[in-house]
Amino acid sequence: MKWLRFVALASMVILVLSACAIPEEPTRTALVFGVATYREGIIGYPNLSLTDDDAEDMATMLKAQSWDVSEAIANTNDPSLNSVASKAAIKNAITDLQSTNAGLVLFYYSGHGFEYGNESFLCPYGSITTGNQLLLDQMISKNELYAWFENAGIEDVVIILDSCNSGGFVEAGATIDSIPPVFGKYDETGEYYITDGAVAYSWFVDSLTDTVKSFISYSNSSPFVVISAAGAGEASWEGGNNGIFTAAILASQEKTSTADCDGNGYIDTTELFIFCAEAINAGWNTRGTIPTSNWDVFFPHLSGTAREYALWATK
Amino acid sequence: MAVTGGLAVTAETDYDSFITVPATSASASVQAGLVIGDGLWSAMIQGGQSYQASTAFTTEWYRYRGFYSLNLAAGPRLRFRYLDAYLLGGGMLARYDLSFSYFFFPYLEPGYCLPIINLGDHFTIELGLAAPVYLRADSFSAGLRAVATVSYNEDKTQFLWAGKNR
Repeated sequence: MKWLRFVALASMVILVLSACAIPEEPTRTALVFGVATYREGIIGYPNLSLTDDDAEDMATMLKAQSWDVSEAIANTNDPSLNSVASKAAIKNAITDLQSTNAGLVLFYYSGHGFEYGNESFLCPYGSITTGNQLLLDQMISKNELYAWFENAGIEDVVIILDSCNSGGFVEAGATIDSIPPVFGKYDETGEYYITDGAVAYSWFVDSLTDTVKSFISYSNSSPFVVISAAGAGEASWEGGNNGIFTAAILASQEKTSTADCDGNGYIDTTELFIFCAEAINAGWNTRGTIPTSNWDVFFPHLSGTAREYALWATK
Repeated sequence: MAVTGGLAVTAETDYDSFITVPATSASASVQAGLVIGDGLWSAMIQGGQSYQASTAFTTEWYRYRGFYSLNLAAGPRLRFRYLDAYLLGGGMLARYDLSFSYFFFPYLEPGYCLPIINLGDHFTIELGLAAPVYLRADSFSAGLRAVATVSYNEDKTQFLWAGKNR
């Protein structure tokens, strides 16, 4: 029986090693978009202050992590230059991946987001007129974004959105996302908001009815992993040097002890989500200054896919 | 009361246009059960909690997420001389690691156990194997687990092959 013991032991060792080791990095392509200028020559709305910094810092970080990065930022007074972050340009950038060996694709967007008719949209350059009117046909819906990737034949896609109402891009898939589309709520006096960790279920088993219904009614979902800064009904805020959400993303590779939960030396999509969620909840939602409205509170969301992707190594 | 440990293989079943790669992970569970009836056939009900770790990364740098779950199942149990075989069917309520995503899925678990040690007049330690099959909505997991059970028998029970009672 010695050989049997040897085989069993060897199998265990191989299994443990294979579970711990991460394969050589695949081809990784990042499309990074930032829209700070929607209307040239004005200060303030609809223009944003830090979305260009978000995109630049994300591109820098991803390049340092050996991603093949393509960045397009609208932040000039020249419409022809800003149009690199228009809807048509974003669609073309994704479509062009079809002719390349893109591998794992990370799509990052920082800019305005919008909710209309229970549907979330990204607002690329060109989607807001000089009269501050939103042009629905120049905005990007979830279905459009997903379809562009599917039509390009890209199988491995991670989408990270730092924009208002971006939760509408997140599919719960075969799961129930227990973070509501609007996370914060007012206290009993209605004077201050509170964040009560307002997940839908107090106890694990509370989710039983909803999850059984979800299982029965499930048909299919996208394999794309999406991390949104905010819920479908929430704003995503910026402050300091970056958007609050993007600042948390950038911090994830520095704070390895808290971000790399499994200690394998890599941040994956789930670890990134929970790190950002905890950072926003602890650092923004419950900060010392009490915000004056429920509008200030937001909480990231993550797709309910069975898979998760490794993104970058910790420092 | 049973403690299990083993391996599970998971693959997505949902994406027709994509090739998904099966991947392996470790799994473990703690279960409490009740067997009703002491004849050839009996009924068994079992509940507990399980953990399936995330799998190894594929070459595309994805892996299947780990999850914690609560389970409840029931089914028939058949005694073949020294060996008890069973087939459980039930449901699992699960939550992906580090997330707020809950999900439910039915599962089947064929298995067997063999008493190996007597502990007093009423207690027995049993060892066996179980092969749970998770029928998840968007993926499929199947595993093989070693099962160690401490069982209490209402009647005085001695399995002669399981050692002398002191």
